[in-house]
Amino acid sequence: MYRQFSVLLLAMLFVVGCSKDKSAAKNDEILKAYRLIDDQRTDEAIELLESSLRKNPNQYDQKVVLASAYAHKAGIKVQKLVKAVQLSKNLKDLKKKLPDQSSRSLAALFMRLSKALSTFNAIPSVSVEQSEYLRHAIEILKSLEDQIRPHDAVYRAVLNIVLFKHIFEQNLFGKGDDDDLASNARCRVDLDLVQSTVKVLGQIMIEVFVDTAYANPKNAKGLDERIKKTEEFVISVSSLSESLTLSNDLSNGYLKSVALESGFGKIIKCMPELH
Amino acid sequence: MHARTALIKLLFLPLLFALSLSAWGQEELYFSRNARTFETVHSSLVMKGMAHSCLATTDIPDGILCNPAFVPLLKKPGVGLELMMSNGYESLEKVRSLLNKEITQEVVDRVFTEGSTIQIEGNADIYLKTKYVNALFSPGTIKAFSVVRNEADPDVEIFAVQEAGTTLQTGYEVYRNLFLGLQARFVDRKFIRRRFKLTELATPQGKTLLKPLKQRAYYFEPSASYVLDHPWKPRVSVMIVNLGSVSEEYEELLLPIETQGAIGISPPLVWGNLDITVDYRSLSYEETVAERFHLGMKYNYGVMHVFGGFDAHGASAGVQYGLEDVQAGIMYSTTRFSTMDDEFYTQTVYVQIGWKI
Repeated sequence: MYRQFSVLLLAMLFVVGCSKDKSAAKNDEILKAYRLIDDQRTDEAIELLESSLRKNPNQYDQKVVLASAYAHKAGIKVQKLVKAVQLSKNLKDLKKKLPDQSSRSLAALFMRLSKALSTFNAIPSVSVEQSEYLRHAIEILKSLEDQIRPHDAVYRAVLNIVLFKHIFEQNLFGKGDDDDLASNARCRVDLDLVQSTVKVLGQIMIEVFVDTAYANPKNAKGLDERIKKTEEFVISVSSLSESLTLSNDLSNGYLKSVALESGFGKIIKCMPELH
Repeated sequence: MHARTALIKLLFLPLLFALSLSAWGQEELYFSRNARTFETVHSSLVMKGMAHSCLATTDIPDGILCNPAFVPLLKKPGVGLELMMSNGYESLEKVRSLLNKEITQEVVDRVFTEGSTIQIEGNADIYLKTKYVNALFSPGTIKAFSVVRNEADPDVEIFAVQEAGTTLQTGYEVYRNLFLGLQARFVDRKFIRRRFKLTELATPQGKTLLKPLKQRAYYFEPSASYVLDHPWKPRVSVMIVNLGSVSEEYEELLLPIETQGAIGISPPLVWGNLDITVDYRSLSYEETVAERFHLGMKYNYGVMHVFGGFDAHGASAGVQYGLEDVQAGIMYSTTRFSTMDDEFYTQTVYVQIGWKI
């Protein structure tokens, strides 16, 4: 009896040891990729998904997860975006609370500007290297074209907003390279940089508008007008830049001081000293 | 001797079969979840500890019976109150906010971004046990499970349920050793059961994702048991569950009518009483046939009950004491042996305290 009991117990242990691993779910590529991303093994997740897409390029979900893996390499984590979302909602609520007349008052304008700046600051910043991964993630999502699902369009819009901030900070906003920008005659406002950057930023904003309208058709109302305003702004900045190219040294000095005082020191570039 | 061997084989073979064929048939976000909390199963600490293998058990010290057919065999009547909580109780308020539609940005942030997994169960039960009628009133039960994967583009799975209900049981010995029983269950529940991407909350379709669904259900569940004349008291039980009606049917929560069965033995011991049972029953209604077998054991000596259970979901063990009016119990469960995964397994501790008169 004892012997038979032992045999049964051993058989049970053997079966437990060899039982089919309850990992059919884990073996699923997407869940595997999730597991790797959450374990901070993003490179392995990328390798897994790219290998799967090489065999079958038309897998929608694998593409979206691959884009999120590249976004993860760019430092995108949802926890970092939560504060920005909260602040942007506060900004919207503020807009609704202020009746039209008061919205034109100086105090109301400062409040909105302050909220807008807080929201902008809450958007995560990425490094130059990370921005390359971010661009790649956006390109993968763009490849989905008309098939893209509304919530994935929201995700693409979010990544574009982070990229917008990166380009804005990288090219326009911030302290310049030289400490002596104001008085150094070799330093001039780089209008070509301003023009090209504003074009790129304008394009990104239009993509964000389109994606948010696609995800939420209620936002589609006024979409054409927002796109038109953005295009007009880009054109006006381009025209202004072209006309300012012909400015003399006095005007250039004035432009430089305005740029420095506004915090746009990065648009001032200095020509190298000739020996 | 041969009868004992045959009985042991009878108990262990279904378990062997279950373990050999166990497989995770579905694509869930979780790699492992709590082995003893199931959203549509209301059970006491001892029932959980026995892996819900209780249909052939004639005595549940901390609640009413699983099988109403054994009501006439009740030795000691009583009235009691039990409060049970699992670890993860810090998430209780978050889950209640979700289920009570207090869905603010803060609640969403706390549930889906702070920490990747929430698992919790909390129960309050008041019960009455007599030889003729058993009654259980549960004014509040919360069970929740939520997991978030991929921090760069979160994919969320959540199942949260808040229930209140009443259960009435009666049984009768219609023929020598043959018992019939009937259980009436009235349940009021609201629940959320979804898998979604966090970005869906920003779309119009996402506005209803976290809207709790309400359901009222009435069940009348018959059972039968036969106890053989033998020192080991071998017995077989059968019960039909989920026989009744619901106010609204939801695809997210389908509870099919099911016939459940169990066999049990109580080998005579010099000290104390031992029950060993094997049940065939669904707990999540998503298991394969093999996953529906559960092995349970309960040893009672004086005021102490020691219990354990094993099934495809995991293993559990616990102890419960009843000292005069106060009852206290603790139970540990793990999925480590069922998932065979060193990285992803779940360990849960349940604590219960009660008063009995």
